[in-house]
Amino acid sequence: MPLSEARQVAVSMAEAAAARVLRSFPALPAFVLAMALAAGGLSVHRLAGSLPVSLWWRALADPGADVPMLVFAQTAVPRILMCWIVGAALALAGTLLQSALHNPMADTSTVGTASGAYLALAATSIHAPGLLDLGPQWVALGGAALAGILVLSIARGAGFAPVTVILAGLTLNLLCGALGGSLAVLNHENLTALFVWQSGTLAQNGWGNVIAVAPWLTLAIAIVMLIRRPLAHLQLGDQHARSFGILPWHVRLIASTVAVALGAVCVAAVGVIGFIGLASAHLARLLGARTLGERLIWSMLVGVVLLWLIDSLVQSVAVFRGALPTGSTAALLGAPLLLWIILRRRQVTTVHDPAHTSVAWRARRPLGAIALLAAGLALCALLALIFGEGKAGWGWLSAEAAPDILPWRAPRVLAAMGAGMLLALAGTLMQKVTGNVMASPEVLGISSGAALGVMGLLFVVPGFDRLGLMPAAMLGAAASLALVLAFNWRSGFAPNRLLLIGVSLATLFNGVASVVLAMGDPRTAALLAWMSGSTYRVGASEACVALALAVTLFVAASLTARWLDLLPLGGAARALGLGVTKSRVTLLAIAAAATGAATLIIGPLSFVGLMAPHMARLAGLQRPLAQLAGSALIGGTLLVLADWLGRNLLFPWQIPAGLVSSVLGAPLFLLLLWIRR
Amino acid sequence: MDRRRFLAGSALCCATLSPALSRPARAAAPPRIASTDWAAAESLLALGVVPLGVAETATYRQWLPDPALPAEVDDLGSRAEPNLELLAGLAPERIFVSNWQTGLVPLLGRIAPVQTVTIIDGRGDALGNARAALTQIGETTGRQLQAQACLDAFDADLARSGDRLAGRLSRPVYVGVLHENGTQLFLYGPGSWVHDLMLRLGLRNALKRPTSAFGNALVDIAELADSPDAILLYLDQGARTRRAERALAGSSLWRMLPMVREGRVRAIPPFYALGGLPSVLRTLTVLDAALGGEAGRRLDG
Repeated sequence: MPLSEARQVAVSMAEAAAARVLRSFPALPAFVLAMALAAGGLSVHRLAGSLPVSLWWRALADPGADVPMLVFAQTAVPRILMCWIVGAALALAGTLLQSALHNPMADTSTVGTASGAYLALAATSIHAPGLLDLGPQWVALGGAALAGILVLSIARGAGFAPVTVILAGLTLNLLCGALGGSLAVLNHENLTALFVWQSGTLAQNGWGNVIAVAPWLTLAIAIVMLIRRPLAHLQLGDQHARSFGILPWHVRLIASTVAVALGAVCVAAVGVIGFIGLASAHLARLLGARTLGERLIWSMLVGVVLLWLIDSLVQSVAVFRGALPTGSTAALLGAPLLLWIILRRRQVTTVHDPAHTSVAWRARRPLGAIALLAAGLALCALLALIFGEGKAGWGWLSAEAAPDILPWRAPRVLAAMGAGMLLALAGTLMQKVTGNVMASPEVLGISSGAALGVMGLLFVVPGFDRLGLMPAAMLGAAASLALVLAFNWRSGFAPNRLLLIGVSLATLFNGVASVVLAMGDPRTAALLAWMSGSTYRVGASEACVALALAVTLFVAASLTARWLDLLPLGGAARALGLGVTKSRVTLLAIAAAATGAATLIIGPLSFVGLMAPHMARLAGLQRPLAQLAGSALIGGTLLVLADWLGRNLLFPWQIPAGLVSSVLGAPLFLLLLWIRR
Repeated sequence: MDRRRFLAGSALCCATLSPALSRPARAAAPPRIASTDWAAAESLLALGVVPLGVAETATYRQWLPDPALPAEVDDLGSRAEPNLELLAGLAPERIFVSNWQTGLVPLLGRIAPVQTVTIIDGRGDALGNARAALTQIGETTGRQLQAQACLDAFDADLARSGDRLAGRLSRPVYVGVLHENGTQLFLYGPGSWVHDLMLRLGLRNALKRPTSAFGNALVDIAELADSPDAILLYLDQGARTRRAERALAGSSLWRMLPMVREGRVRAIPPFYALGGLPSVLRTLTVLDAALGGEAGRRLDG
């Protein structure tokens, strides 16, 4: 088509011209300067309000016992310095990880550093508070380092394949979050301090933190100076690097170790500051930093001014004062920014698709396997109904007690079954649609959307009201689906773009959640329980609806079996006459409906949607229809088991089913990743 | 201040309460009550009613040791999700929940009539709420006389402490909990009964910041300098407080704060700030011991 070709040429010429203009205009220095002026103006204004400018020098040199001077010298100035150091460190870590792993999504937060530190702190404050006396930063550092090492060693086997790194990080985030969540549900009173830390506070008291973190940053910069040449060669591909006598994985290892250590030190010092690393690395590149050296330097500067500005805003704006922690604010602002960055990128760096590398056997008689799975589900459900722990200890449900107990127990078992099936269906559909075996309902962002709706409700209605919960979650799920559809319409639902948008939504949700948890509101206990996937509040009607919906959506999905066969083929599917966009929208709508319904019951965090399709494949169910049926049965079984364990392990206390399934499922999944390498 | 004074104080309170408790109750079987709320649970115990089950008994015993929760009381599990199967098996006649647990009402209502106990509601007068809650619980359990006696004893104590404290203290007072990180603390303000109690005792709360819906505010250490002449009382929560103290000892800003330099900072015995009237009474004793008499004169001086 000559016309469209001509248009393309015209467009690319216009783009080249625009790029030239951008390059000749110093966008990056202008941006950094503008941000620095804004942040500096706010800081100076605030500081001048507390101490006259003429006294500043004396306050720093010799504050004596004058309190306003001490506040200036011991709190205000270290806070600004800490902003600079942490901003620079996180940005450096982000850029290092992104260039070492060839991965636009890599960041200290996506490789699990923060959640490792969170879990370490939570576990220590409950089980070994004595260790905290050594200094909580060491505990956090240990946890963060362990998480980083685990993710990187799994990734190493896969040659640091971007998807593997992100997945291992995501899984570890989920696992640590689930374990930390269980601890929080069981020890809510003891963990309020932790929630404050988790939301990231830059409040300083003295120069201790600055002195602790600054040497790490200096050391990291020194190491980066040493490896910047090999790292730059690596940007042109492993082959290119090898021809210069560089061992790619050596460079990767050093760069990622430096990044993880930086992330861990920052997390230990100021808590979780989300997204500064990711955002500044992307902003620097977007505004024109091209070579590795430019990207490293400019991203650090962008990180500095970005965090400084956010922290100044948090402290200055009267509405936010004291109400919004800096870390959560960074995540709240960072998620839309990331979304914008993704939308601007025409081509999201695609990654090799592990679907085609996985070798699995195919069951000769899928029907037999499905029948076996169905029998297993029925048996588990029956056992969950009639066996368990009561006031008198372990035992079978007696006929006399049944009328008292079953009205409480049956809806939970049935709801767990329904939600498990729904999530498994959604997971299978998503993996087929995106052609990415690592996709899961959480990644679509629909669960996060539903959860955001519930969070919004908390601010409006005083109680944690089940009646309001339903429409709020529905509304949130619908809104996020609309968002995902709108953002992807033009790109024809390119799989990776879909995933990245889902991750942004999940980050936004985490930001909001950490703000709510840090408020120290007792209702957060109920919120935590729901978020962690409890079937506690499910009624009989909801359970029936979930089961009915699972069956309906299964039938709907099975009508699309041909699409599911063809879609993973990518471009070839179109050649075979498939309306790719139309079929993707339809399948995503089914997946979203399933996810929304399941989220209402089991909360936003569960592992079933990711696990069940894989287990079905491992059981030899490869064809779409067989895999759908098999994974639905497996998903149901998993959540019924998780719910049963959660109700009985610590009777009369109850651990939410979603947490149990994550705690059991995540290590299994990490093991799968490890074996496949 | 120190534990001995506190124990002496609480013994005094028990002595004032005991005539009410020893008065013969109406001749009836003890009411079968379960409580997922701690404020209601301690109010019940103060009226001589032993609940069948209370949520989170282990933490309750740690935070609210007095009056002691008898060993035969069943643990109902977490306050967010009390165990429904267990609760149904106990067959209570009535269940008390707190106003932030109203989400549980539809579920618990299937087991027994549910009564909501409101202490902190974000609108203020938490002290009035605590009194009303005790009266209400007394009416529900047929212990009106005991409830009235408790309130009278509380009022007498309040009046006595008020006489001892009112006008004696020239300085405003902060009451709160140190954060482990050594840079922040939670302070009680409007919306909490700690604040109401301070006003009734003729004390001035030094906290000027708006508070959360639960009557407290998270404040940076540096903001303590806004009221340089204030007294700071912080709850002694054991190891956690020790860690905070250690972190603060290393801070030159903290050491140079006038209230620290001039010795106007004291640890006080802990209390449960979301509790009912028994907790208010305990806090009254704690504040009286810390600020009344010789101790108060030294702090104020």
